[in-house]
Amino acid sequence: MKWIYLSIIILLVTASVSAQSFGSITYNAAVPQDNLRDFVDSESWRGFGVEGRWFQSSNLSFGLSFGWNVFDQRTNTPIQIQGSDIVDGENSENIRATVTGTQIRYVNSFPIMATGHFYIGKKRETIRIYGGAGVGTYHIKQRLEIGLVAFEENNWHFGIAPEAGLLLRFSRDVTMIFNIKYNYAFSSGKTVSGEDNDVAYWGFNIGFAWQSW
Amino acid sequence: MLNSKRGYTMRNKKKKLIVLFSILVLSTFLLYSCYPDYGLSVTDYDTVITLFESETDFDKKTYAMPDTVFHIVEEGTPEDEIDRSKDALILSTIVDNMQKLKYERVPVDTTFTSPAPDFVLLVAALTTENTGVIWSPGWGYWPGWGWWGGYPGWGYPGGTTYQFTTGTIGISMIDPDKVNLDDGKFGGVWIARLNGVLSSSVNSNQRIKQRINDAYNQSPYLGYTGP
Repeated sequence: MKWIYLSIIILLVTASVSAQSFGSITYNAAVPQDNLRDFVDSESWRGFGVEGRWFQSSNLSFGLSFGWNVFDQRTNTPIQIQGSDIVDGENSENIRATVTGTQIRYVNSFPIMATGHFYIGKKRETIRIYGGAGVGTYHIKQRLEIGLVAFEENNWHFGIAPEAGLLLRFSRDVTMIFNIKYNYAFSSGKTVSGEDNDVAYWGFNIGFAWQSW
Repeated sequence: MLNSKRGYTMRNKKKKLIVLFSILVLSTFLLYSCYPDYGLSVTDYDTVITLFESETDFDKKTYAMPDTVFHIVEEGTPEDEIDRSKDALILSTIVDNMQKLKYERVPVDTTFTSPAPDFVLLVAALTTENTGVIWSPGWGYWPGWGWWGGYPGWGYPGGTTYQFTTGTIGISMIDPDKVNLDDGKFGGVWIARLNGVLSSSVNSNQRIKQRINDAYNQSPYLGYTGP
């Protein structure tokens, strides 16, 4: 956990004291897609993001972002397992298994990205629309609890996060930020079920920003 | 000039305060929320696992089952210390389910004079004492994870230990034609394992019945369709 705190502190402190900079904290909700939805078919209402951006000109910034979302679900959907995954022996491919019981499924996603954004409009306008993308890594922690056992896989994924958003400036000190982000973590390692594990989700983020210029 | 500088310093202080407050809020949020607690009850820890051999033809008529549950206990455990209070319930629930699937029960013939049954059912029960850890606040309550995958054990920093008992019921359906003791093959074609936390506060009779029914319900390939 130390690296998470360290990233947050560095981001927030540097973005709050640098000239021509921008820092933000957002509440992040997310909607899982594809493989992630197969594992947890439920929206994430727990998440946040922190971001620091440094302006190269009035319309272009580069920065760093850190985020977190947890997807979790309680389900009783039976788990079907191929025998060769659980037993050895010459006849194991003919074995089929079904496991039922209350399952709690979790996926924690921690994106750490280098970002670039382009802004439309002038620096001090009330509303500024922007587009951009992040490139970096996702730390994904997947966990399945059933009965008295738990299975967990932790993987680092290369990932991208295209984004569109707007800044709503209320005063010199108060700016709100809204954005929609498509988070995509390329396949890496394995899931608890041993399948392909690229992870994708839409993020809907809202928060406050502070700007220094 | 002085006022402007003071205003600038005040704003910077305000921003730093906001940043520090945000770090505090986010840290707390992160610590308490990675694994949201679902407040599970004892029955939520019940699991039913069934395995079957996909090439087996289960559409056969007869089965035999001893009127005994084999209790797996430590060697030397006196007979009167074995709790057999649930044996009748376990066996009768299995018989009910087999009947619903149109299987016909035949006597166990130890003399091998009558034709062999198509399947033999063996039932076993096992009780296990486990030690787990309740973690310090912030990481929820994970009963039972302690013993899984190699475990820190007593006195692990940040947690307090506790003990719980799990019960397992095993049902094995054997095809006598596939038994080959020389090769170590016991001929199991369908196996059910029912596992749960034993607790006197929860209606265990109903749970046992329900889990045995679940094992049959999740095995739609079982059943005799003939006359």
